[in-house]
Amino acid sequence: MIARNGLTFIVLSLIFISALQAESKLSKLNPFSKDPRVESRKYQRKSLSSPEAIILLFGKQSGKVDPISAKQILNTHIELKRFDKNALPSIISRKFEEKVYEKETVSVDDFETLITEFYAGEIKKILENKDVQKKRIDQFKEKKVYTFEYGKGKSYSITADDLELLFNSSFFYVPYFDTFNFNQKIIKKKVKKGDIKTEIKEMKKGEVTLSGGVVWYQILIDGQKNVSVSFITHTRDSIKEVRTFDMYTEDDVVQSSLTNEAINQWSANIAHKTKSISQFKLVGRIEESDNYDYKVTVPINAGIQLNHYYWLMEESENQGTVSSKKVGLGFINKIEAYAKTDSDYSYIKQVYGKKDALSSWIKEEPTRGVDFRIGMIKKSGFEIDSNDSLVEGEFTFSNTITDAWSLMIGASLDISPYVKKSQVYFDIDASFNFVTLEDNEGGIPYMLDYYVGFHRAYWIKKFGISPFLMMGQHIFYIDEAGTFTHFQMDNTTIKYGVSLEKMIKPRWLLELSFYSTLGLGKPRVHYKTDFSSGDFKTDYSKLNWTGLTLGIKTIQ
Amino acid sequence: MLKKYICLLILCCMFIGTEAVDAKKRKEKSRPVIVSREATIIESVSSSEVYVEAVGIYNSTEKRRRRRKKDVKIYGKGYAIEDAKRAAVHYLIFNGTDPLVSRPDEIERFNAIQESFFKDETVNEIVVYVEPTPHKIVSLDNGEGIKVYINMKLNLSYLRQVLEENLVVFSREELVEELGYPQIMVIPRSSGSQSPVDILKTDKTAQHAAGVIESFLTSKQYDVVIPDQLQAVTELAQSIKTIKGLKKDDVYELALQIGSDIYLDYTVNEADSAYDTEQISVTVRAYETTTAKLLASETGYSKPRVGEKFVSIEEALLGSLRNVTQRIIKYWEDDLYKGAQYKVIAHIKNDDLSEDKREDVMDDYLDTIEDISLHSRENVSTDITFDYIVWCDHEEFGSSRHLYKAIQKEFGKKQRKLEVRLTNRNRKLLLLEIR
Repeated sequence: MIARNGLTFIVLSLIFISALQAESKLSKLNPFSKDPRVESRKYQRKSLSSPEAIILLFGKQSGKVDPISAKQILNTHIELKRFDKNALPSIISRKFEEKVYEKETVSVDDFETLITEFYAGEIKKILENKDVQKKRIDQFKEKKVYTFEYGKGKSYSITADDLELLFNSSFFYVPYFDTFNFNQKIIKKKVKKGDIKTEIKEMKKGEVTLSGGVVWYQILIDGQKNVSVSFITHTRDSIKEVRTFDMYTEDDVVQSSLTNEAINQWSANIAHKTKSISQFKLVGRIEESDNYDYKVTVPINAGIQLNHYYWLMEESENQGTVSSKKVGLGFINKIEAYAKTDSDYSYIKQVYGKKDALSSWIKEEPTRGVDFRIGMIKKSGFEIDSNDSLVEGEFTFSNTITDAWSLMIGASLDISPYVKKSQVYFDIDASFNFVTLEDNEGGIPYMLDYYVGFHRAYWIKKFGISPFLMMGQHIFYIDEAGTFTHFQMDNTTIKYGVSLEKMIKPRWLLELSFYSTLGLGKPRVHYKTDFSSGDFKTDYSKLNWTGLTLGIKTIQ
Repeated sequence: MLKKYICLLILCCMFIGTEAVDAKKRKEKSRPVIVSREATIIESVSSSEVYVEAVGIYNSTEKRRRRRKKDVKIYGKGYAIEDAKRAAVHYLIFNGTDPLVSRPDEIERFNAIQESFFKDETVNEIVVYVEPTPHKIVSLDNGEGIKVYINMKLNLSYLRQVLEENLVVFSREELVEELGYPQIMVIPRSSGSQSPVDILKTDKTAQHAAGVIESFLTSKQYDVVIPDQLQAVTELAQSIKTIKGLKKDDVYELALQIGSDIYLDYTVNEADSAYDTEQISVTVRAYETTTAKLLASETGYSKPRVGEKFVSIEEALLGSLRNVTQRIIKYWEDDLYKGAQYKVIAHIKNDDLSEDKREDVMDDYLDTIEDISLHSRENVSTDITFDYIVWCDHEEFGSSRHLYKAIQKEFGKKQRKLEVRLTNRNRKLLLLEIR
């Protein structure tokens, strides 16, 4: 038994190591793409404006979506900390919308013309306001105390360079929905009633399909205060929201509830895509580096958060031309503001790329804060003993099961910003495997376990070591075998262990973990036959095991 | 036995440690004195300090590629910053509009001390502040070299002092000992009917600029005169105006009246710039008083900004004055070789002299001038007025009074009937009468 487990461990470890070796090959074969554009090393705050309502381009069912409340939902997602807001009078928005709806079809150029007509002048007025200028310029102006200006007046004046940055930092977006469908039908659904009973129930099933996008423009104001509008990009997303409701739920409630959920999800996706627009990505300078640790400057008021991922960028010169390329990936593991200092320093831990690269600045790699993983588990050390399958004088199966290979899936939610400690995650995972039983009458026996818990990763060089603690349920189940409706053996357990992870491709990690479980009491058996049902404590079986997992994790 | 092993281990550790230190020293020794020579002056922070963007380069000389990369990653930035400091100092010495060292003999003297001059201790004293981090870092040769762009502040006065101490350039102190402090008159340039002195009295911009220039020049130990009190010079002015043929230039006359060695005039201009900002430009011109020869002319610009006019004036002035004063020093050095310079105007008072007699007097006067001076140059000569620039031995003729006495004595030897009398004098000007 020990020899077999040892062999499994060696095999999994060899797979893990060979995958790690592949990393260096991958980094050679798949070098980071070079970006020849000269990019800024300092994030320039942007200001946003938009119409007060989402433009509905689908016509027919437009009454089913309230464009103003939909826009308010979008605002909560898209108005990120990195943006200032240019508040504009409602009347302009209404005029803009009226003009849009007058057209049969609207193109990007049409929006551009209408923005120039209605909004550009108003945005210019806001930017010409002295208080707005002072407030916004103060946020981005580099404070160099050794310059003449500061040396003389102990203050900084507003220069033409500052104003050029300010006057060209305004962006305008037009959100729209072009598809909206709502369908509802009555379905019959199996619903659990109590611990082991289920019943068939009629329910309402609603489905909302929503698609739309956001068209982005930049307002450009030159030195002579001439205003122009330039198209930036177009982001789109589609959502399908399906949910069942109780039969007594009003149809309107079904629709509005699903619509709101769909708009909320669509808005979240659009906000994520907004972060990926190159003009809006947070950038900063690397101040110091020490092996895999980097001290960086990204303005805290731009919304920098723990665990946010950033590319480490290197500039290289080739035949007089300087270009930037990605040479590593790291996450924010400390923010000075949490230490109650006034500085904008944050710290990045590099988890991917070579440490001898001369990275000098960083660029945001937006993530949603959710990791997904999939892998194989070798479970051993448990015993599902046939002696505990004696029900109504008959053994349900005759063999004893002591090990299994399972398929594992899991997800981790990044909770670092809330607990103010980096690399802390809330985890959910589950594993499943079929079991071969002897003398069993045709049932489908399987093992299932699921857990919730937490883990925190500690990074040593480019290896993450994550101790975890979880709580969950181990279940052994046989469905409809002979006279059985079902046979279930379960145990509530605590799972603890440690995993070792290594990023083998940007945002893709290889994970090897070892864990053990601790049952809270003895496993119990629940059964139901054609004649009776009941439950009892097991005498011979134990549902505790040790597991060795090899999996792949992706950071989303 | 165990003790032996421990001793051996300690010895090995000591050997490795010493080797590591030696290797580092060897590496530092093998580094070239200066690699980059790129730098740009961003602005003059004060009369003695400049803010510079400098480029520093470090190329690893390790044998293996992997080691070269590691070396650059670990030490590259630090070495490149040191190189940037040297590049900035090098730039101020040799480059720009008015380098500190430009004559071939100065360059030769500097080359002899270059290696010791660029030692870290000296450079670190000249560079008074370096930004904590380069604003741009560029990898060279696939990570085997590094180039950094970093801003720093340098003390230009101290740099000059070091060059003086090392006998690369002429010591200003010695210059002062020989020639005295140059006296400089500062006055705004007038374009219309208003006189410069009136502008100085009424225009706040001109007043502020004059104050800034005065502050700048006095910090460099120049003797500065701002002629806002005209009463002191009225008497002399009257004398000069009676002399026939003088150039009708108010500022020139004023400088002559005051007796300054050099006079500076300046104009402050405002221009509308982008985004409704204003940019100030100040043009400063320096003239040799005795000849009204233009010595230097430089225009400085402020950043275009909203309001803060006085700050902009000072910013623009600092930019131009640094170069102007550098050229004044050069002129002052040249004077050391040529001799002390005076303007001597003589006027024959006796109207009843025959034409032959006048010619004799003129010959005697001109012979006197030639005998006393090292060089002389005629400005204006008529039958009764002789306007000359003379360069005399500054040790013998340290003041215009000595020159007057010598002219009087020498002319007396040549002429028995007529004599030279002083009408008026100041530091640079002698107004004489022959009667």
